[in-house]
Amino acid sequence: MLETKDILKIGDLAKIELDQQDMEKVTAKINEILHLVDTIQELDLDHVEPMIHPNPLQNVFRDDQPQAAAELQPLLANVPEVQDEQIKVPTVLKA
Amino acid sequence: MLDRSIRELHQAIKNQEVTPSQLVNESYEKISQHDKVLNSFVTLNEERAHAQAKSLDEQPAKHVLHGIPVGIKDNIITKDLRTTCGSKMLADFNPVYNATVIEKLVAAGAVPVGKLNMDEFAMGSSNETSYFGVVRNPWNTDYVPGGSSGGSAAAVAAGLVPVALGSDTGGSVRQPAALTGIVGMKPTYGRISRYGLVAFASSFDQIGIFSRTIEDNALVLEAIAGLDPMDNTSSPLPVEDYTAKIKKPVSGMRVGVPAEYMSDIVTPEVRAAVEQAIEIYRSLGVTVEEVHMPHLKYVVPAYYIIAPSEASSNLSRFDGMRFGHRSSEATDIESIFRKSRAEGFGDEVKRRILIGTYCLSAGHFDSYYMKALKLRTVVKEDFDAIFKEFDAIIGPTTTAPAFKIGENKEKTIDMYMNDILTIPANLVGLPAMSIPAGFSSDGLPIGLQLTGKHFDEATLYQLGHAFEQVTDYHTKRPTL
Repeated sequence: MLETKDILKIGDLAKIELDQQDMEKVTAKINEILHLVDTIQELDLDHVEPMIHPNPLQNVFRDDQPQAAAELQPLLANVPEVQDEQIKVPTVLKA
Repeated sequence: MLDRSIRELHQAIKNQEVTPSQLVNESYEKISQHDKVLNSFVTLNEERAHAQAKSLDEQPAKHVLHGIPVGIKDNIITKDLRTTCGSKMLADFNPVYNATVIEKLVAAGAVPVGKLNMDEFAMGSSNETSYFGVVRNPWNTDYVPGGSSGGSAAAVAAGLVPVALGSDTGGSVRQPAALTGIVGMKPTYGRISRYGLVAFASSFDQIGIFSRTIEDNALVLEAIAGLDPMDNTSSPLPVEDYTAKIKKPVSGMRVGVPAEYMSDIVTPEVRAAVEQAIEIYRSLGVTVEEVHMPHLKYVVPAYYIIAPSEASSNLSRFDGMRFGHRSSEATDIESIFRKSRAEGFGDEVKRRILIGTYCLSAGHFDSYYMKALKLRTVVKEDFDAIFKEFDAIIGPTTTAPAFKIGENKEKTIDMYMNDILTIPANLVGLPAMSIPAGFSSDGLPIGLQLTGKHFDEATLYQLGHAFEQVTDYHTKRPTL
């Protein structure tokens, strides 16, 4: 069983600010889901190879080909804050 | 006109009985009549669709999809046409390129009329997690259309468009197709390029097709399947001529029915519909025998480890920096991430990111994520054993018909368990399709699921088409 402090730590790892007021409900839901997925622990799969992907994949190579890059303006149009064609963010380095 | 099959529409265009513009106009008329209630579309593409149709009016109809209106699930990106994934995070996002499937559809002459509502980031089985509101089932608007491609299913079932694209990560094409009484195909993983499909769980995600008939479905698959240099997981295998094969007799085929799919996890009405389908196949000369899926009990747990794990990684790109929602409360870089994600994602998406982050974290990786990957191998072996002796597997698509809006909203586990019959195909990457197979006593559709060998969509279409020829479920329409 995870406790509220565990969920807050996971929220930190996932970079999602969690609402302190909802924590009881969120914790209960997460525990409910973990209880469901824990069913898998009944199985002994120690000698089974994991399947990472449904298709047997190999590296796919091709020659480099020059192509037109995406246009700047449509890309910038999706940026939340722009200044002088740059993405604007709060100050990173403090004086 | 739009009630006709794609082939009939194509013939009508060639005979100059109708123009692409008229078809597109009809689609928008139907949308304006019915979609206030259904809420299947999030964004319409009216101006460009009319312009495209007008240009198609002047050209010879070379491709069968020439002038056919199509709907697109809102997690398939469309250049300069808002693509939201049903999320506040992307409520104002305008992609700068088209997904490969869009390029292929437009090249064939199909006309995208708009973007279809969905559960947020495709996480849900009822379309109730969309930031843009719940979609209603055309058969009874108090009921959900299923999810996550609920908008695609409702729009096709209501006849707003003849065909639509969706995506299927754990059943998100087949389950809503079943709940709205239409055909929903999830092809083999790698059959259709995922380039431009917003990633949820990359080793499961596959674009799929909604239609009213098998042949319409196969025509769209022929147009959009194939190798794509932009998706290294797309398959180099040649795309088959599915429509040429569907009319072949099914007599002599062997089909397995997993006993576990017919247990009391499904309602008596659903079981009865599948039993009737079994008898129909037998009458067509198909051998139907009981088989076993011994690890069915574990597929939902494995899915709810792997899918959230992959999602927690894929959705880390939504950080409020270069695109998507940015919190106005943020004061530094760290708080841009934390607050933008808190505000931009809905509860279900956050929950899955938290679960995935936990399953991948130090100390839990082996006991959750690796163990679930091992279960995939075990389930593959179960399927391989069946496919040694059988051409396909049939059973119910869902455990029950559609449920009422709001009924399961707080019952997370019940909602997750809904996907138990569709998840196996995603774990292993197999093609699977839902077809209309009956109605419940209160008039809600029931779906039959057919699962095939890797890259054997042709057999599924063949079996589906044979069923369609001797039943009339696919001809029934909801009263709107």
